[in-house]
Amino acid sequence: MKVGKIYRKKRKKTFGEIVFICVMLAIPVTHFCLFWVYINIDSIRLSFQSFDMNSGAWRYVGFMNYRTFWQELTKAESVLPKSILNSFSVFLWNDLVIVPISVICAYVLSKKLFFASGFKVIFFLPAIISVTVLTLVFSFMFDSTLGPVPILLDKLGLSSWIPFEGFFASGKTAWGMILFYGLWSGIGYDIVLVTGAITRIPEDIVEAGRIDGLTSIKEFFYITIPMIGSTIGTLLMLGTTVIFSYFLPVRLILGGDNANSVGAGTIALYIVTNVRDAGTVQMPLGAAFGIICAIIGTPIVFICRKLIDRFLPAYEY
Amino acid sequence: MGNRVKREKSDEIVKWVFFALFVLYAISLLYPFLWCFINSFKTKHEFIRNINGFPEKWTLINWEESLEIRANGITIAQMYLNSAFFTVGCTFLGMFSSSATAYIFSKYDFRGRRAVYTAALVIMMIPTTGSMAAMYRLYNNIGLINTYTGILITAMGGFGSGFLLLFGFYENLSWTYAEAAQIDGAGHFRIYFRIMMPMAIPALTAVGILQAIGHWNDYFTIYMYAPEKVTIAYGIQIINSLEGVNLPKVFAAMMLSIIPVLVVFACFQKVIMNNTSIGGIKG
Repeated sequence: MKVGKIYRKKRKKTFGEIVFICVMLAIPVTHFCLFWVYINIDSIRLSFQSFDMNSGAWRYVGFMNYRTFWQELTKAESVLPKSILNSFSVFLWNDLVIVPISVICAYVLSKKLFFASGFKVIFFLPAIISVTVLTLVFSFMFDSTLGPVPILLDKLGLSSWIPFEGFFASGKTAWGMILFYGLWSGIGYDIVLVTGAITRIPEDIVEAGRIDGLTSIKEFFYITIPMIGSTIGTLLMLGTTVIFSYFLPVRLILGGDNANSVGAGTIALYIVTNVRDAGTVQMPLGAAFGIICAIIGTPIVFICRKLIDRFLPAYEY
Repeated sequence: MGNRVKREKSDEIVKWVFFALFVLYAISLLYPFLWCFINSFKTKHEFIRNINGFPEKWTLINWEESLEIRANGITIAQMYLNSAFFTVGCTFLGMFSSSATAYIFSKYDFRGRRAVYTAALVIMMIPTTGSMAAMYRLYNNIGLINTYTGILITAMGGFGSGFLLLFGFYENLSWTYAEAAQIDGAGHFRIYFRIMMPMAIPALTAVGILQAIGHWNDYFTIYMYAPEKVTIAYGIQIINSLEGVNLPKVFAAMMLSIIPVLVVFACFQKVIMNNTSIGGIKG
């Protein structure tokens, strides 16, 4: 979206107008300066500091936190390489699996499918229910002692599929369960979003194509996807941003410590654990890792944005 | 002609295959909640021996007892109050701030306007996970950890998805209304609060409902900055860890936590779904 034209003619502002603009923007601008500008500058500062437990003061330690981070990353049995891999796999899972499936499902759903409106309402439910409740019901369903899914697998003679330690405590299945949770809880919202975009495609364009003998598959690839490019782009971009922020489902389903022990940590989980749970002493390490993420992540996000804008341009209709 | 009939038939088959998949997915979404709901009417002992059936005797004991559970010393009723306070306060402050910012940026020209607008859009994309540490330190230093004020202040930002939606709305709102009011002697504040803002009520309502649901369900902010001001979204997790041995009670508490959201969704389902679709596109 670009800044649009101003309806008012350019002229010298009155005192009243200046006061109005200042008053209206006072809170948002102060908030922005404090919670974005200051906080980010302080993050950089914090990453070069350390907390002295004896004096209770912060002192400058140069690149020590970055060095500690590097040692953490490269030491034997480090959880960080796996956490970084996991975080990137969330991005790939979203952009290469969830979004394409959502687009296909939304296309079919938009073709006057029986009970389509009912499906949309049901599919939307995970978007309004808190992640706490969603993760809890999900873990109950797969609980190895009482969950309906293991009971069903057992009845079907597939009990060998159930890991001895349970789905969430086994290193073989824990991360897969997190990805599966992402699909289960996220795909419905994406389907509703894309269906909304498809219904806004002008009917006459599709009709003209149909007269020219366009098959459903061709309609999907040559009309639907290009016309909803901006919506698909938005969903793909959301996938990019979760690389550095995905941790809540992991923490709620697996628990912070368990997640790392079963190889299901993420970048954000590592930072949150350092900032929130490990105490003040570990905060600078979290900040240092955060700065590294911002340095690596910003170009990734912008390159993705550029690629999306190039291959999925937004059409006005 | 034959090809067309064949094509239509195969389209029909594909539709029914997807219909079956959608039914399965819908069941997978509804069944867990139904399972928890039904099991919340069983006693602890009955649940252990009858996990998947209907209760032999329906009891409300778990629902009654769940009202007395305490998480960090706070009952569910108090969690509801905290959630309601944060939801109303954060939504109101957030909307007020976003609306003011969107109105000024869409209707007034001033130096730096374009730069700030572009910066606001660009910074939304920069990953700022690392800023959690500095934010925590700031809250700690100025005594905002575990305070209502701290959480309300967090929500007062004027930029974000709400800003983008309202910017689009105000941009399309004709300035002639304001001009007519100016001729009648109305000042800038009166034009905004008496004319333009009331006209934006449908857009504000839509954005407000979405933000309110987000605040009601917010786990992260409370977990990070105010774990003592337990809300229902945060408290359910604590209740599960405290009462995990009596799962029917946890199920009852869970159901209690989602009832308000489901009621709001039932009342404003169209508004919520339509605006989420638009929000996705604009974002």
